Amino acid sequence: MKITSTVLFIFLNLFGISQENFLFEYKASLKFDEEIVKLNKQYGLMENTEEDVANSKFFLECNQKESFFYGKYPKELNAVDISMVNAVTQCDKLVYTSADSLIVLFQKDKVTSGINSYYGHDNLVVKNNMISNWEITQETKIIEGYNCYKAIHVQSETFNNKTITRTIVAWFSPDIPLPFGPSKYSGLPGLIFEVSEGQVKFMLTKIAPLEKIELTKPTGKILTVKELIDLTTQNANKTIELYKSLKKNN
Amino acid sequence: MNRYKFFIFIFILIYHFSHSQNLSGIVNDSLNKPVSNASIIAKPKIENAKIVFSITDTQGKYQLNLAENVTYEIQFSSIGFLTQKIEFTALSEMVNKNIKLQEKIENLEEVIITYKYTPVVVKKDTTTFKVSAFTDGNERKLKDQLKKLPGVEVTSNGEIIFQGRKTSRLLVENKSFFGGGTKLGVENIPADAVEEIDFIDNFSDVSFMKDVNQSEELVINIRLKEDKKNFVFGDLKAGVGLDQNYLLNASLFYFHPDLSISYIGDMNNIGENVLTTEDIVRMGGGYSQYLKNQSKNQNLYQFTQKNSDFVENKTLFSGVNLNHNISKKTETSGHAFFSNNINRTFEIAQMNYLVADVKEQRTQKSTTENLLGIIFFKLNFEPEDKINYQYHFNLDIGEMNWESSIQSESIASSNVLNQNRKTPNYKLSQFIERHQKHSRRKTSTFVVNHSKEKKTPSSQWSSNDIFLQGFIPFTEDDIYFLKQIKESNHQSLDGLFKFYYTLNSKNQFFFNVGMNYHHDKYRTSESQLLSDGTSMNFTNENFGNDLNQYFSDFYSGIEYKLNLNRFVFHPSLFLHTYRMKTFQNQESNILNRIYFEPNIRTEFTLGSNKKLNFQYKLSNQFPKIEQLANGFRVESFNTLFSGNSTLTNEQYHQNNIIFTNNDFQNDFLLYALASYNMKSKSIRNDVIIENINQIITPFLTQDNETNWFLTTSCTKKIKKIQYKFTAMANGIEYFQKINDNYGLNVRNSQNFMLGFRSLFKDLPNFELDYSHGFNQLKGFQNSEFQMSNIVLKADLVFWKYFSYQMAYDYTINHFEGVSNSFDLLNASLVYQNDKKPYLLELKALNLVNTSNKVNNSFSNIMTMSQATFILPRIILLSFQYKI
Repeated sequence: MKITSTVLFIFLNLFGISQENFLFEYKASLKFDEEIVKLNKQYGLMENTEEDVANSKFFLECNQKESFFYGKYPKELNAVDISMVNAVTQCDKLVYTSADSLIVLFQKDKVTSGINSYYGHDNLVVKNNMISNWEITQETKIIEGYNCYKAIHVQSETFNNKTITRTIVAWFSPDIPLPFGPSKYSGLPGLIFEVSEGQVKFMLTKIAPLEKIELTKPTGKILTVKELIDLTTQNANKTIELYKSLKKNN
Repeated sequence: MNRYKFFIFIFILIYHFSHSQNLSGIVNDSLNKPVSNASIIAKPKIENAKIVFSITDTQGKYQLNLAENVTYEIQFSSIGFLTQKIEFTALSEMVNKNIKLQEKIENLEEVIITYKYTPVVVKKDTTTFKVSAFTDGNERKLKDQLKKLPGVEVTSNGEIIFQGRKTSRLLVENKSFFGGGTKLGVENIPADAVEEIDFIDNFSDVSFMKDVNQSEELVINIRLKEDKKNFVFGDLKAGVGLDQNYLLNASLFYFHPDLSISYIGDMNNIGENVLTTEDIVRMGGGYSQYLKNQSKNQNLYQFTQKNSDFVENKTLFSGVNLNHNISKKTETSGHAFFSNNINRTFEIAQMNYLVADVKEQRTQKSTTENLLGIIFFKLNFEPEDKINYQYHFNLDIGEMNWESSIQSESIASSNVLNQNRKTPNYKLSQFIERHQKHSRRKTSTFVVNHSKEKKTPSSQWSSNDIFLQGFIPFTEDDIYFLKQIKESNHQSLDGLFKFYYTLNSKNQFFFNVGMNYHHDKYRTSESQLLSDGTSMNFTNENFGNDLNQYFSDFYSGIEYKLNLNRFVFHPSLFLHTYRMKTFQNQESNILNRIYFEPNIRTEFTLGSNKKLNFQYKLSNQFPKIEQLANGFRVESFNTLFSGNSTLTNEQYHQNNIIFTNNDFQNDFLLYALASYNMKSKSIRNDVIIENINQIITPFLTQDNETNWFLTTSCTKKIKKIQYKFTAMANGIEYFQKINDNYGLNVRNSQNFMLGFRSLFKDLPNFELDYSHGFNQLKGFQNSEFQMSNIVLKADLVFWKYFSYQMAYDYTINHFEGVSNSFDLLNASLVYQNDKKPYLLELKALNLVNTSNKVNNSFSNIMTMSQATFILPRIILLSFQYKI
């Protein structure tokens, strides 16, 4: 028995390499409150955002150790639409998750965003820790034959002395034992099939083997979340000034 | 500022550590190497305890904090290993448990997850279907998929009907596809390339125009699967049959965001036409949608054979479509094709001319050869944001040759005739549109459209005996030989300037100024060729025409649109100044008319799925040059036509109410339309009939004519069965003059259809439709007929790779106490292995070898029972290769 499995293992390592990498495709949906939509319509914003998000596609490339997550929006979007989609889905970032070091790195796409150089850095990478304290419930459902568990993570954020609590609900399946998921959501003992936070929801649409991952771990100036907040706060005043001067010129 | 806040929210995460583990260990593989990132889930066997989990670290270590004295089922899993389950009852002290996982060979296969709860998304004017939610994967072409979508129908002509409305264009990836020809699309786009299908109402090529311009155009857009983009895909098919039947088809596609190329080639003699008349008209394109209210001149195709029943048919088609984004600002697209269609028809008809009570027995054999080439080019240029130029150019060149031999027997005459007609034609049309959004409130459109067309049919009749006796001044001869030459030229120039003013989100005003100008020339002449080589021209015997017509319409109009949440009110008023000047027989006839033409459109949205539309419209239609030409001309061996130079315009009042209920959640779709139209002035025919020969002359009647139309269609899905019911009724009242008797006629018809279709994923599927129709005519003559039709379709898969499809169609006619029936059976057996690129098909058309179809029709002049012969049984074996 042992010999057989040893032989098998060697065999797998030689030929079964394609098994190591996976591509998971996600779609996202967005449901705004009617009030928010009404407010924004006056400025011509968000009118198509729900639709644009629905038409965007998201890809998670991973092996057992690390995952790369990125989005692609529909081609015909203009700059305003793109910024709205980015704001809700983080479509413009490459999210790198390492299961070994339990970190999540966010890197802005250089092409679609001018924000990197704006902060005075060519390449800004934001480092975060993987969500670790998920609570797994007894609630299960079957998605396309995969048994999925419901997991909840309650997250509190303090900003301007106000604490905001958000609940993340994820459905993951231990049948695919990879600790990854879309965007920043990871750290469960199985692939995340569905995850929702606020008005945004990601859903798995396709599972496929992948020959090779061409993406590499983001490099650049690594900041922690706290460092980023400090940096953005510093820059907030500059932003306001820039905005004011732009308005004046108009 | 908002974005900056948002940014911070997203990045704030709080990290917790778990404490006091009481089960730990190392997960190893069979070689005792640690397995990192393996999943461990501990599921309590009692209810109120929590599920606990862990993920192994790089050393394969795991730790779990389990509730004391609770038994857990602990599952260890990792990619590439068999899942291992153990049972464990936790204690307070730490327990060490190492796990060895066994490798497994099984690979993860590709899985597509379809979320059944969002297969249809309805958003404003767009309805999107996720195709995979409705199909079972056995579909081969787009047509097979469309038929499975709720509320969608595909006619045998390849037209796509969505919610009772016909789609006017087909797009692929939002780009033009062969000028929008739906038949080409539905029969050639491979099903496995299609991801989603959109139906877009009020479609506009220019995105910013959608805010102001309601085009009322319904288009279908095909979205391709991501993995089909940037690759060449398509099908190659070749088939051979008994009796020298053949089929060759190639459909190849390449879609890239900046460049897409499609090629469709087809050659067959099994009666599968690649193009329909409507496709040709649409592909001919070249008419701005902003000028849609004007009468389009589509005479070019009036000779195209509409009958689809042949005894022999040969089709050759080769066409290419291209879309290219030259730069971010400039997009071009175009298509070019060549088509040659040869068909032979054979009909036997029994006519009963009611006025003189004469019967005619007629056999007719015809051969038609239709050659056509089209070049179309379109340029879309956006020099800057919110300015858009569109230029369309179209050139059609064609020739149709028609040959027919007729044998006609009646008490009054007996003729054996040969007739041939050669119709060379060309049409050139082009337009330019300029759209600009000047500001949030102001938008403008400027259009200039030019077109020129010419056709010159020349016909010859030769008969053993005199025909149209007493109507044509024939000189006595052994063989009667008549030659006819027609020439018609049409040139038009249209222009429109439209200005859209948006007062606020609820109120919009549109201002229009425009003109249409047409110049038409029409010439006909008939002469008899005598056997001694001389010819007799009939021009002095009231035959022949030579006309020149100038028509102009200067118009201006104002439109108002009120957009409330659930109510849209859109009235408009146009002032038209029409001027028609006709030169005929050295006389000129001028007609000046000034009309106000109102139009009111309203739309109520009732609830989330229901809509009610109402429209009223007044329009005027001016006579065509052919209708004004006074001289006689021969239409067929027993019909003469003479125009009427005193004709003026027809006037219509149209009223429509449409109700739709699209409840995709409960799989219930309902569509109902009621229309009532009145003509206060209409052009009708004055018929003089003697035996089987007739002279038709149009005249204008001021008596009110009405017609009404009611239709409803409803589908409901219960479990796996979809039920469908449609009903239609209409009535037309019209005036006619036959041999100087003037009177009113009423023609009514009713039709209903009941059907159901099973939608199983892996069981045989059946479809059964039954329809029954009634027709009545009351007037000079009273007659009626009924027709019923049953269609049974079956579709089953067996031995995994084989699929069998069959369609049986049975029609029965009841007319004047006689019943006639015919049936058709088509079947196909396909071998298709998903993993292999090829497909084998054995197809049988007209398996029961029915020789003809019998149709009945009637008018005030005659009743007709006609047997049309059809293609005999065809058995074809074909091989298809998927690229």
